[in-house]
Amino acid sequence: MSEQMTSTQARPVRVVDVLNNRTDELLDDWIKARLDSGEFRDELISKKELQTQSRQLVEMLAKAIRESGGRDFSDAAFDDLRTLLNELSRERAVKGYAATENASYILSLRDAVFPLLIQDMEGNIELLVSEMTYFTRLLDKMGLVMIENFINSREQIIHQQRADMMELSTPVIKVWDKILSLPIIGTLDSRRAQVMMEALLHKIVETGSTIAILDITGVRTMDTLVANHLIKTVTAARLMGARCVLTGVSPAIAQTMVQLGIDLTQITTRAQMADGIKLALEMSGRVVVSAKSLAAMTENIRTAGNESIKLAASRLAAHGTSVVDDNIQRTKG
Amino acid sequence: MESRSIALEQETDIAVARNEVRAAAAGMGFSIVDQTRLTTVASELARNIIKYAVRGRVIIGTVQNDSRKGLRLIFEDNGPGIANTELAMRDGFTTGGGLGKGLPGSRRLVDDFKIESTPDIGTRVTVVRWLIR
Ligand SMILES: Nc1ncnc2c1ncn2[C@@H]1O[C@H](COP(=O)(O)OP(=O)(O)OP(=O)(O)O)[C@@H](O)[C@H]1O
Ligand SMILES: [Mg+2]
Repeated sequence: MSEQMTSTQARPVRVVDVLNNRTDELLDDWIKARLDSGEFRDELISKKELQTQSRQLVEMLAKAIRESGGRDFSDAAFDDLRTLLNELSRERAVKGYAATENASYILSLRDAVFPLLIQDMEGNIELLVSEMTYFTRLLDKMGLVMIENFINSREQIIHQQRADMMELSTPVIKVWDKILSLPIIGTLDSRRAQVMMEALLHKIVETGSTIAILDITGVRTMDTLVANHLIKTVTAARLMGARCVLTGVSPAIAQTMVQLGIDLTQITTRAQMADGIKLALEMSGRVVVSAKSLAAMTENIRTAGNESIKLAASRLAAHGTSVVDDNIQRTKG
Repeated sequence: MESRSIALEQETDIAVARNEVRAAAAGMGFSIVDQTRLTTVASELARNIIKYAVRGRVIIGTVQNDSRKGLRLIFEDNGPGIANTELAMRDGFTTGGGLGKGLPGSRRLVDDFKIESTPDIGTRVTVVRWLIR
């Protein structure tokens, strides 16, 4: 009783004989039809691979039908086959097949099996119809399993790709001695922000840097989460003796930040990355001077008679005469 | 534009919602600043759903009023709800270790803002930004 309720009743199945005894014929027809269908993609799968897969599938199908005693696809005897179908569809999703190609691969097995089945039944119409009905139902279920799995696999792949995109590594760049730069690009979720912050703090320690330029030119949306991470990063960096400069804040983001109510006044900000670098150099006691004005300065010092200026000149010479001379040469030339 | 619904089920869906909202706003002719405002609102409210309600959805659509046209976003979930929405709307109020700026900030970034919430039933936030011509 209970068996009847869970599954169709067991019965002898003649289609198994076709699958078992006429395997080679069957496979030839099936594979030939696949190759001719225009759906066979030799850039995705080799003919040999298709043959191996198809043989495995037919053998497992025959075994499952026999073991189930002719019950439907929900029977436990079909578990191994279901696993194989799952693997096949996942593999095909990765390779870039279309969902329909996946289903028609399974469904087309019918066209190879039925002519042989008709021959075997020798005009026993009643039995033939019942065998065909049974086998069609099985294939339909298998096709659905393929499609369902295929779609699931595709979704997983898409999600994975999205995740990969968000995790694009964020390089910490050494701009100058003791000056680091962190160009932030794309979407920041909490995990990526966390990874980024840790990378920056490590690099600060490693290089003994005192200034970090955080550039958000590549960030399209700032929200409380990103802002919160920025503020935390700046605070943590400060604790480690490094100051942060935020650059690349677009007018749209600036206005949005203000309305959102996020206070970035504690963070030193510059419009462009270049301004940030200039500021960072100044903060670390350096100046960016054009070679021309440096030449003029040097000339002034040389011609002035004052002792203190001479002293300054000698100090300047001790620090970087060669560079200065080089630059002066270049400007003159 | 037909209204469309985007499922919010995992963190990556927030980025999807953001992109859809930006595309819709750009398509309607909103300025860059307005596009950024709306995208930020989408980011805040979608993240609240993922963070506090686990899953929900956002419906992106247009509204027409007299001669004006606007972009309307509805964020709904069947999460735990908010016992005191007035409190949740206050700057700095957070139960999740955030800045507590998501809800009040979003209200400042749009023209119309409505929050409906019932504990154990869920939360719905409806926002509209009108297009100025
Ligand atoms: N969809 C929701 N379901 C349940 N509770 C919510 C929901 N949205 C917000 N809340 C509650 O309202 C509080 C305030 O939300 P709000 O977005 O303003 O701040 P936050 O998320 O805590 O921090 P953040 O500044 O990062 O957004 C939350 O801490 C949470 O308790
Ligand atoms: Mg929030």
